[in-house]
Amino acid sequence: MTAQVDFLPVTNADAVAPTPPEAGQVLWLCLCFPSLALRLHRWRGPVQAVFDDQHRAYAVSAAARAAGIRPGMSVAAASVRCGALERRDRDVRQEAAALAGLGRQCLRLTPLVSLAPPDAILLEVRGSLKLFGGFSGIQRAWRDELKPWSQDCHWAAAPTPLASLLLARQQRAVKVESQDRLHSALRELPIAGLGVDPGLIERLHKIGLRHLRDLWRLPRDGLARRFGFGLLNYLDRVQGRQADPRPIYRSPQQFSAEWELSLATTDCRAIVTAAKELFRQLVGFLRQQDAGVTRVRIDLFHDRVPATPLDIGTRHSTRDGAHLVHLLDQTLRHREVPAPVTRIRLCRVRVQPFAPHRPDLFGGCGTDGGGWRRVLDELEARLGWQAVRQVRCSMDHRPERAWTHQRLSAHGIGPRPRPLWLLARPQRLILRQGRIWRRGYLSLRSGPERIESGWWDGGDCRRDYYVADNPLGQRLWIFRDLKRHGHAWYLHGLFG
Amino acid sequence: MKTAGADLDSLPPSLKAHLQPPAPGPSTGFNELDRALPTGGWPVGAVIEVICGCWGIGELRLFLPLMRFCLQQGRRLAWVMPPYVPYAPALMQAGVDLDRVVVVEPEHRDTEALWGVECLLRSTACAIVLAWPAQLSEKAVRRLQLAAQSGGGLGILFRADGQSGRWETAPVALRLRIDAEPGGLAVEILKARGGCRRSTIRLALP
Repeated sequence: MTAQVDFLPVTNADAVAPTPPEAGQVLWLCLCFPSLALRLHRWRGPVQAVFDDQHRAYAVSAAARAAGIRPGMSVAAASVRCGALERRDRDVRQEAAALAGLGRQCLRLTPLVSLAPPDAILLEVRGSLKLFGGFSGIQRAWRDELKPWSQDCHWAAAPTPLASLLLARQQRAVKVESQDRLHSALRELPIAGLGVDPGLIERLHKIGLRHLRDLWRLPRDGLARRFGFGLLNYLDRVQGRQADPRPIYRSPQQFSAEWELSLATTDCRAIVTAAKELFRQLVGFLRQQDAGVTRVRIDLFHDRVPATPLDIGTRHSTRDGAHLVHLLDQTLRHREVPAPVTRIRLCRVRVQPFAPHRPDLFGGCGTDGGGWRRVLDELEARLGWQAVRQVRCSMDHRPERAWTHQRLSAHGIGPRPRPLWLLARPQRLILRQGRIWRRGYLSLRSGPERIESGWWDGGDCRRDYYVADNPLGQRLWIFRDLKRHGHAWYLHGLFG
Repeated sequence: MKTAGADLDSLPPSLKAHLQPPAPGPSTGFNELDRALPTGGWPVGAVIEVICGCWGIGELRLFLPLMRFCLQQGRRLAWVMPPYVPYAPALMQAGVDLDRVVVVEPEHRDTEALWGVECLLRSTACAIVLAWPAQLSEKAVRRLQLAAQSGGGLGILFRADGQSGRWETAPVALRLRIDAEPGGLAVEILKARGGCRRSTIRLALP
């Protein structure tokens, strides 16, 4: 019986059902976005279809479905069914980016997010149930988080990722809590919905197998012999008899997001409304990183005209979406948009550690630093940074040079730091392993501040001053002498 | 029967401000002027209009005590569209903390400047906004007055005497005309919310 050995390359032990792992305590929520491919394009009418590179319909809108167009149809067959059909080519790269964007937003709900391309996301939500107040809380949270998408999103929850994916793709909005109930929830699923090779599905159909329950009724070793271990493996993973490790999605360190406007426009309000969605994503991203931004670039893309860049800056690390939207609004009013905007991109985000505004103990508003910064941001956004300045004294006898304009610095509005102790003669600092040493390695706190003066009296100096800390807790005023060869470091003062 | 007090309570806050006795404000630094003003000092949360024959007769020195007072309290000061350069060494000499002073000079002068004044007045962080608007309508003054009321700061609008525009009916809290005098300043109170005899006060300026 050599043939049997050929059909069964692995020992019988593998064909015996493995004991299910201790997986009872996980719950995978699957969110499936069947219209993802459609929504990345701009359309004029409701009869929409996206075709893949084989010229087969990949995704169709509800109106197209009503007209008889089904996924998998050829272009010719689809066009015959409806004359008003609009066709677009599938953009796989953009789909992947959009799915990753959705995954990033879902990180607010759980740290365990896994992407299931092309159109689904898996979330392990068991750990988050308590935080959100049960499963209904989670449901509300994701609907709220993915608001523009939640209308045509299918969900399902099950103890195994594959089962939840199958249920969601079949549009069964069910929650299966335990492993025991999984079997009955899955038994009626059609085999055609399994994510396996289409040829294999056809072979299964030919022998009269239509539903999962038909497959389960067959003996395992027979199934393995006829259709290979791949199928058996797949079924085991669906039921949780075998571990199904999933790649965990990690949010990228850089943020970039785009939004396609449904209608090209020069109207500020429409642009701001669209940008709101991007800022909402940005705020979600910043919350995950526990960070804020001080600078954001918004690119407005036009048809056949170079993009218009808009820079928005704040003087304080913030993640207040409403404030950023307000600044964009003011910036737009100040600027002329040269052509209708088709697409908006938010990128080049300068991420900073988040520093929330702390009111003082008694809630006083006398020195309301936060409010002041907001006003200055607002003024700079609309009037330009040249319009908002401070005046300063400078050391010169000529009256017209005894003052200067100074741009408001991004951090605190205050004078340059000066130490309370000055060394009569600067002390040379040594370097150890390329780092400045003074009773320990120094870490720079602020600087540089260039001081360059005295050419007329022979005491010409050109120095870059920094404030540095050492491990003993001393705060030092050090400089780098740019006049001397080698640019040596010196200690010049102590903040006593 | 309704009492007069109940009626007063049902009024919107913007109207109530006109009917109630004005809250005492910070001293002007000049005793004669303090006595003449119904608030016993400059009003707060309001707009003051100052009509000058020309710049440089002491219109800034009149407000220096107020500026010093506000800066000592850690509040801030904004100059919008000053006609000349605010000279830093002199401000320092006068005891003005330059770190708390910001100068706003927009490119598109008229509308943007007014927007800036309104924005600064509405914020609670800015105590005094000194502004030299090129043109001003009654409607704009009304807006600024409302902004000052919500922010609690003081807006001071300087106007050259010959400047056009119908300002006479504008709802400012205080309208002054100042003229040079030998060794000082003659301050004529044209209008003061809270009721006041039309009078001229002579001040000796440093």
